[in-house]
Amino acid sequence: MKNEEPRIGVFVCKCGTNIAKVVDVPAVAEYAKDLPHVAYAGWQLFTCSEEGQNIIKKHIKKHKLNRVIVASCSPKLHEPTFRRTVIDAGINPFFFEMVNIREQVSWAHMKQKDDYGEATEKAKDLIRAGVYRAAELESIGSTTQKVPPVCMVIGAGIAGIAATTLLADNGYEVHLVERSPALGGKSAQLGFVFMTDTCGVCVPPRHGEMARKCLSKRILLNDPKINVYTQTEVTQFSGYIGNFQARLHSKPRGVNIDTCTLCGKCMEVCPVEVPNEHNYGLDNRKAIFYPYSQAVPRAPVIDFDTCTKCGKCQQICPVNAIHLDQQPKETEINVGTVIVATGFDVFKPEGLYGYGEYPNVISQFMLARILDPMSPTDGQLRRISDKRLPKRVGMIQCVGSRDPNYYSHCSRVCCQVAMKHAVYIKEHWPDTQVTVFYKDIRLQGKEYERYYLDAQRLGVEFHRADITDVKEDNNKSLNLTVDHHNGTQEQFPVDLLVLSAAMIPARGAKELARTMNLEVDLDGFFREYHLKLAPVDTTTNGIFLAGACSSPRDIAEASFMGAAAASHAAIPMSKGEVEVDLAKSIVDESLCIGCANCYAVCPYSAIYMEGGVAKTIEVACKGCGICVVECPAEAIQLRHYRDKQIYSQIEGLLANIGASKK
Amino acid sequence: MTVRIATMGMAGCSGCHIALLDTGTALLDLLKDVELVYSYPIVDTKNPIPPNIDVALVEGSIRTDHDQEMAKAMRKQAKCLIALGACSAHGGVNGLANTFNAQEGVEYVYHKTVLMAQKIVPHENVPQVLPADLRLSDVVKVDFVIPGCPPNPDEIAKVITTLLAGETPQLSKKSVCDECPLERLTEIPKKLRRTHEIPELGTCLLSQGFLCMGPATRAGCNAECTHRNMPCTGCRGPAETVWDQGIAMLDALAAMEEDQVANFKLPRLAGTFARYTYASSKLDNLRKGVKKK
Ligand SMILES: Cc1cc2nc3c(=O)[nH]c(=O)nc-3n(C[C@H](O)[C@H](O)[C@H](O)COP(=O)(O)OP(=O)(O)OC[C@H]3O[C@@H](n4cnc5c(N)ncnc54)[C@H](O)[C@@H]3O)c2cc1C
Ligand code: SF4
Ligand code: SF4
Ligand code: SF4
Ligand code: SF4
Ligand code: SF4
Repeated sequence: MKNEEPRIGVFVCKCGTNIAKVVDVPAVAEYAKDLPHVAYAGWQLFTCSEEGQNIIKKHIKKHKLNRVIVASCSPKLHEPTFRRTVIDAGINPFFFEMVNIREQVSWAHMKQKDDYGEATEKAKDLIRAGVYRAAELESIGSTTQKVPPVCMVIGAGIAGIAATTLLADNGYEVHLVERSPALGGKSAQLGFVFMTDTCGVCVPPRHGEMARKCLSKRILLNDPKINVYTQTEVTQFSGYIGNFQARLHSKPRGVNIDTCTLCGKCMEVCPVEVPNEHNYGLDNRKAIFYPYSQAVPRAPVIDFDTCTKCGKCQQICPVNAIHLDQQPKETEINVGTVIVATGFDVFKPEGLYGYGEYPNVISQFMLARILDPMSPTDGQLRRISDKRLPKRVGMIQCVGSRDPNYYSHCSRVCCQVAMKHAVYIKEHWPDTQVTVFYKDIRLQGKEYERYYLDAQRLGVEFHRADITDVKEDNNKSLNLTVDHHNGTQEQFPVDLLVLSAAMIPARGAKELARTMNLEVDLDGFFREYHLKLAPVDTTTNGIFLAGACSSPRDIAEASFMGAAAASHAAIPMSKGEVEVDLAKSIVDESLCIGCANCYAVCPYSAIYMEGGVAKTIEVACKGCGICVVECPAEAIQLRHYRDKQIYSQIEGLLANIGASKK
Repeated sequence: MTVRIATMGMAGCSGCHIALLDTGTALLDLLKDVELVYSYPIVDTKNPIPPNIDVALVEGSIRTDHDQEMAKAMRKQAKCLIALGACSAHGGVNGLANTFNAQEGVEYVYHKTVLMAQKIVPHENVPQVLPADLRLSDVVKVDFVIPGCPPNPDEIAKVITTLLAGETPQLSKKSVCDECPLERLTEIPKKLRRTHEIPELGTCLLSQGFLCMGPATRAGCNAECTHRNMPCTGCRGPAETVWDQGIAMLDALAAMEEDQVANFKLPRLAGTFARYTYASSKLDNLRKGVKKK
């Protein structure tokens, strides 16, 4: 096909009035007729419609076209559509070229002064570049890659668990990798959660079954399809869809979860006492401890950083479940797909509003732990300093969120969390005054507004204000300087100050992104491939995102997303294979000098060195083009984006320079 | 019928002519079939360029208006015009002058250097310096290029005999590494080094962190430098597929750790990466704006 004389068809789209309002589409089509190798050029109202596509097919036959250009919207949107159209007409999809005259022309030049003028000329320029490029295109085939029915889910929060159970219920094997000693993530540590006011550890045992079961029923730990790894992280990662390899490093737990009966004797005898990180120092824990009530697996864990190996726990344990000499474990697993569900962390607002300085300034997460029925205060509202019921509670919203000095995003749940806690306090301690200081109240989830109305009905006060100063008094209460948005200022005393601190990317997310070659956004959350078209996909085929690791989300959303990611991961696994086109890097071995530059820079490990030259693994290559740039001998090229194809496109773009406009 | 050959020198060091003489006995064989009608180091060239030249070899870059006129005059008489050597082919070391303003350069020489007692820039009866150093093909159409500083005598002889046989000579399309005997490591250098840090024998210089221009440079020299453990300086210009020799090597270095590249202070980037090609590099094009023909 290579030497065949190019016969190019150019189809210019009006996109209703989207393009036609700004660009003189018929004039552009007329212009395209005279460009080199163009055998047909015309325009349509909606090229992507069924009818529009049929017209393309008709002209392919009639004019014996072997290259097709559609000048319309972004290739991100319709390139796949038109590739299919040309395939139906018997043309290799890589002989299709798309020119974007909507986002790049009509939308960009909506405000041009003269009707049609400049935008029309720009559309002509871009189409000419496309025509020059189309003449250099080559036919590219595809290959298939086997995908075994095994998925790795990283993070066992609500999103990871939703994904895991859905996959297991559908018969796929899952490796669930959790960094902490317990499953359930943040929501399992929230005593009760909004929307349902149920406890945070409940998850449905099977999808589609309403009966709730606690995580503690060991649903995950007993399912033969699910391999659970706690205290485990992914330390190495490579491969591609169908063939990902991960190296897992598991810290020793020191306790056999199968034989432990959680009698608690070990925790009584252990002489080492340290602040309990799960309760933010509200109480202490031992070196051998059970992370929080209802934690799964239902067995204690030894913190070997503080354990003195005195052996007392081992002696007392009635079932010999304790192994003080347990070693870290390395496991290599091979999986077909991966779901990243590593969730979020709570921003620590050190230095803001007295946090970290005054004991009675806490975060909403700490308040959630205090109000948990199984908390050290038995769910009773208490101040930290004197364990007494606060009479006045203040809450400050958007701490670290929507703040150019910290994080630009809205954390999306903290308004709702504040409502939940305010309502709960008013319901249980009606004499305690609750005041919320906010910039905006943003409640957008199902049933969210109900909590707001409840809060107002119960007498929670809302002030739109900035808190410019916080001072502690002799009682360890706090004096707030409040700048109301109406211009007035006042001093406002509270006994407990609760900060709605931002939800931020999980600790280690950046490192994990680097290990797995995933992208993160400006705030550090994992970046999805396309927010609208592929919200659970990543730039790596076969790796998906779920839950709060890609943006702050509530439990409902995290759970939907877990299910969505699982369904996406199931597609290649149920088919057993994926089709991979070969528009990837290719080495001209006669030019390759074996310098290994490409091998060193490829972010997707798609290149290996053999016999003194570089070789590429097409399935693994993402077509990023970095190797092409790095190769000093220009021996490696990207098919579909070869130098000559790009240069001819540039040549086409510049071909008209100097020619008088119009 | 004898073939009429001419040679000419522009802004150059005559090294290419020496290389031509270095063809040795091959030259003697050649001279049996050809007539050298014009060649300043060899035969008298006071007369104007004679007509009906079959092959003209031009050394040196175009630096003055005189060079420009001579190149055009030679083009008129020659059926086949060959750019001989790096200066003629790519602008050569002279091209580095393009990193300066030409007029300021001239004034510096005539005003500031000690030998110039009078501090006058001569204007009459002397060629005028052009604003930029140009390669031969910037001024006239060139039929063939023999790269190298100096060009390889064997290659010169081969090109001429091929032409005499009525065929088109071919340069190697590969890079110097292709002819280099040193062993490559399949890892990129951790640290950049300067030549005085003495490379290990037998191992690819680039792998050891020495700036060897081999990968981006056209083969055909038999890798003479790296055979002697000296890094290639790129005198033969870009390899066939290489878009821009200097940029290709800069790109390749980008693979290294950021601080390594950032901490490596090169005295002159252009002089290192585009030593022989600056005048024809994309960098110079960018600086000059649109190229003149
Ligand atoms: C104070 C507060 C109160 C809230 N209250 C509510 C509420 O009432 N209702 C509601 O709907 N939402 C609430 N939310 C939001 C809720 O917590 C989240 O929607 C939910 O936890 C998101 O689940 P997830 O699985 O995406 O992430 P997470 O719950 O953060 O789970 C992620 C899991 O991944 C693990 N992990 C992280 N990194 C790694 C790694 N590198 N390797 C292995 N494992 C890793 C973590 O240990 C964790 O177990 C609240 C949030 C806050 C801050
Ligand atoms: S061995 Fe460690 S965990 Fe066990 S009782 Fe002693 S200090 Fe505590
Ligand atoms: S959810 Fe509310 S408190 Fe949280 S960042 Fe958004 S606006 Fe601020
Ligand atoms: S284009 Fe090159 S660097 Fe990018 S993924 Fe493919 S092989 Fe790797
Ligand atoms: S960078 Fe180019 S020359 Fe070097 S190994 Fe890769 S393909 Fe070969
Ligand atoms: S020493 Fe230079 S020429 Fe030889 S292989 Fe290495 S880079 Fe190429």
